[in-house]
Amino acid sequence: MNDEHLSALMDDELPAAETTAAVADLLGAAPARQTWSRYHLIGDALRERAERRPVAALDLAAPQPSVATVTELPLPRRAAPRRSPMVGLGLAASLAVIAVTALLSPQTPDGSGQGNPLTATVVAVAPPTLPAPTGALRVTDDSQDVVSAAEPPDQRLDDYMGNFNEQRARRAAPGVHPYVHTVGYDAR
Amino acid sequence: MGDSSTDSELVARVQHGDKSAFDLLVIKYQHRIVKLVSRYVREHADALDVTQDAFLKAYRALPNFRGESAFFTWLYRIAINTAKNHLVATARRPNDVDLGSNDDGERFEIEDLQTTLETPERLLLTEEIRATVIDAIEKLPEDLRTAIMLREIDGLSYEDIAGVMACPIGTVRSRIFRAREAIDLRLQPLLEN
Repeated sequence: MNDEHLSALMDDELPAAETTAAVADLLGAAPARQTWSRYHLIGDALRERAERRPVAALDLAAPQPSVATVTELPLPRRAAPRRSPMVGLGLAASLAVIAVTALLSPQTPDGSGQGNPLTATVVAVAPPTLPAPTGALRVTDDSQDVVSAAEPPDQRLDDYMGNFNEQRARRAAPGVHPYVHTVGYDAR
Repeated sequence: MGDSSTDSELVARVQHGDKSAFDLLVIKYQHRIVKLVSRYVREHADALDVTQDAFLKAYRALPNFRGESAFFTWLYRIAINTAKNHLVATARRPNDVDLGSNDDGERFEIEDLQTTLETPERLLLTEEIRATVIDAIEKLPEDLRTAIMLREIDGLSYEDIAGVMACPIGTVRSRIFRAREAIDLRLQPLLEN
């Protein structure tokens, strides 16, 4: 029996028909028994090493960027998002418009009030603190911005969004588009 | 660990009176049993004693082993029971007096276990062996290293390794052998000295 046979015998990978003869050869030859012993020793050493370092493979991922490394990088500063109360007011107004739209759109000509499930859902999530719509909704303090309920819903929404974006742009830095972040670069 | 045809063959030979076949089983499983026993018995020397007792019990009981479970599973159970009995006996006998045994005639069969693992010289040798094996495996070509690691550490069959490495089973067998041979070449001078 050569050592490759012995190696396969150790691993139970010899064909069954060869195993009996291989074991007989192994027991009859001292060098083969010594090889058996050394090969098992190798396996034990490898397993012991693996048990000592059970996540050895993770060592490859170990060198994570340190805090020092991160702080040395000339990262562009990004301004913290401002949360103006007006933004919340604008959001509330948006929801109110949607709620009004939802409440008005299901109205059928015969007044049965049957709407589609989608609009019913939208109504349900509208903030309960919003004033109940009464045919016309004042979104801003400007009297000319009054949205009429007689207009088609899409047109009313477009008007509102245009108005809202205009108001929002007024609060941005002069000459800077409100949605563009300023990115700096440190030459160091 | 599934049932082993090699183990079955060795067990059959022991049952027919070939004691040297049991030596091969001891060589194969001694480290794993020591590790198992060490989970119960903290003192390393005690763990070696318990391991030796477990192998003795297995040797005595082997004529009645019918192969209904894998040999290692059966040996595993014996080792656990021996370790638990040791803990009970130690609790009962705080001074842990070794009462000796009257089975000296059998003890010589597995005395290698003690001499291999216990003495400081042997422990030093064990460290050297470990370092040599690790160094040798790190210098292996990638395909050989992967094959033997999948076999020895992950316990994959040759068929599974062939699937993982996308090569024929015969290639796996050859790679594993060549890996063992290369490591063994580094190991032999150490063991001879």
